[in-house]
Amino acid sequence: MTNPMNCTTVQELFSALADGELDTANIARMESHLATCRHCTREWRLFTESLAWLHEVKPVPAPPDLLIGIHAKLDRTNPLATWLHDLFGSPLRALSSMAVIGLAFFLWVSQPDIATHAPSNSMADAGGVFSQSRTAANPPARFLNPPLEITPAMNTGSEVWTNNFATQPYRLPTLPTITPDLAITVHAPSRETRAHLYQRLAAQDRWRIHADSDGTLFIFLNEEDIPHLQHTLAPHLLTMTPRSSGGDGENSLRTVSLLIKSQ
Amino acid sequence: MNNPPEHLQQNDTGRGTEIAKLVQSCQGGDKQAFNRLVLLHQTRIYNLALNYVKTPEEAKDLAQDIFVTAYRALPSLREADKFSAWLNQLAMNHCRNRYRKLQRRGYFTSTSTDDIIVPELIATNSPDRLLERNERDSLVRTIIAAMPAAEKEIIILRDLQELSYEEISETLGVPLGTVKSKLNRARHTFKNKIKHLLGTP
Repeated sequence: MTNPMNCTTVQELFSALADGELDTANIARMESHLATCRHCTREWRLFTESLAWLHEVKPVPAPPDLLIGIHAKLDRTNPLATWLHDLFGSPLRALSSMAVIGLAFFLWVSQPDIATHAPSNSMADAGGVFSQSRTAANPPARFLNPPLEITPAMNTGSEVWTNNFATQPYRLPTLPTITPDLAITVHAPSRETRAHLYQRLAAQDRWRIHADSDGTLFIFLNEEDIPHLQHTLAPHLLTMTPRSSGGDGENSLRTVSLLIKSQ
Repeated sequence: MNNPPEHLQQNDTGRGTEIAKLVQSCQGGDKQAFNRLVLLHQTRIYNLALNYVKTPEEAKDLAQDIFVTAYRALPSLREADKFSAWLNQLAMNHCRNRYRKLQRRGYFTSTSTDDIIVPELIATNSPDRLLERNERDSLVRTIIAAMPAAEKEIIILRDLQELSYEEISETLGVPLGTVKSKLNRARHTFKNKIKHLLGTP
């Protein structure tokens, strides 16, 4: 004969029972208690009903422009923050490293015979050393190729965007309100090809186009506009793979990659 | 017993392998792989954010920040097959921080279940028949929002995000036994709030 359970123990195991986590012996002991205890039976019924409420909550679909917003945020990266991250790693390490550098600098300038009485050529030498540091004359590679700037210059329905694809500020038509079901990344062989393609694609209002600092173009469009896109890219398009991929319920925004041939 | 819906299932072998491959491609600089990773996880992450900040605009912003951080931190992820758990952890940290930040700014009005008015429920004791699905979902979210932070967190992870006990343990960094006891307590709190709304003795 198994030991009977009291009300406290039974209610402590409600969750495990509901999740199927109890062994058969404990299930039997709980059932035996519930068969005789009206209070626990009522609590168990409420417990399972409230659990059903929770489990029936439908997930809200993610906004269709979530992905495009992520890329926009990635491109808005503060170059200083990126550089500090590259140099030091985490923000905490960056801060502590900067604090150490700041303290060292403070101590250096606090020394009267160096900071206040140093001859001018010593300062020049110090500047010379500094100018050879990574900060000034030898910046990380990303500084040599400045990040893309996409700057809405006006907000009157149409926007002027400047970026390193378009040679001139480019006036985009008002962005269409579309719910894209396809995200296309364009891999072009050269900066010139990308600039040319960007201008051709940006002139259309059938899709949204976004260019990131690494030179990848993202096109968000509806599937029925693919033939139009192919037509627009016809002189340049080398391959388009895959024609469709994924497509899984909630996450129906699919990704396609375009490979552009050299001009 | 509680199988996650299809779009939330991430631990089956096929999906797990796909994610691991995508992570490796992304670490190699493939942005399309990152896009795919976002698409596979966006519903889960967006809904997690929505449970913390309430408004869709704020949740979208929060979800985007989570993915931006993930993109930047991805090179440091050594085990590609742990991506989903890693992302959960990262998302939870973001959600907690954003919640605290918004709370300090007075973004949330103090919610108590005493303030929730559901006259049909109280009058009839028959929620299933009277409440429309959307109303019920909204009521559930309001009740969860009014729960203590630790209980809210575990109930979101288990009953809304449908993570396994092991995944919750990994995400929250607590032992399995603690997950089980905390979950039982949180579910009882939720049940008692429903009971209070129904006016059940």
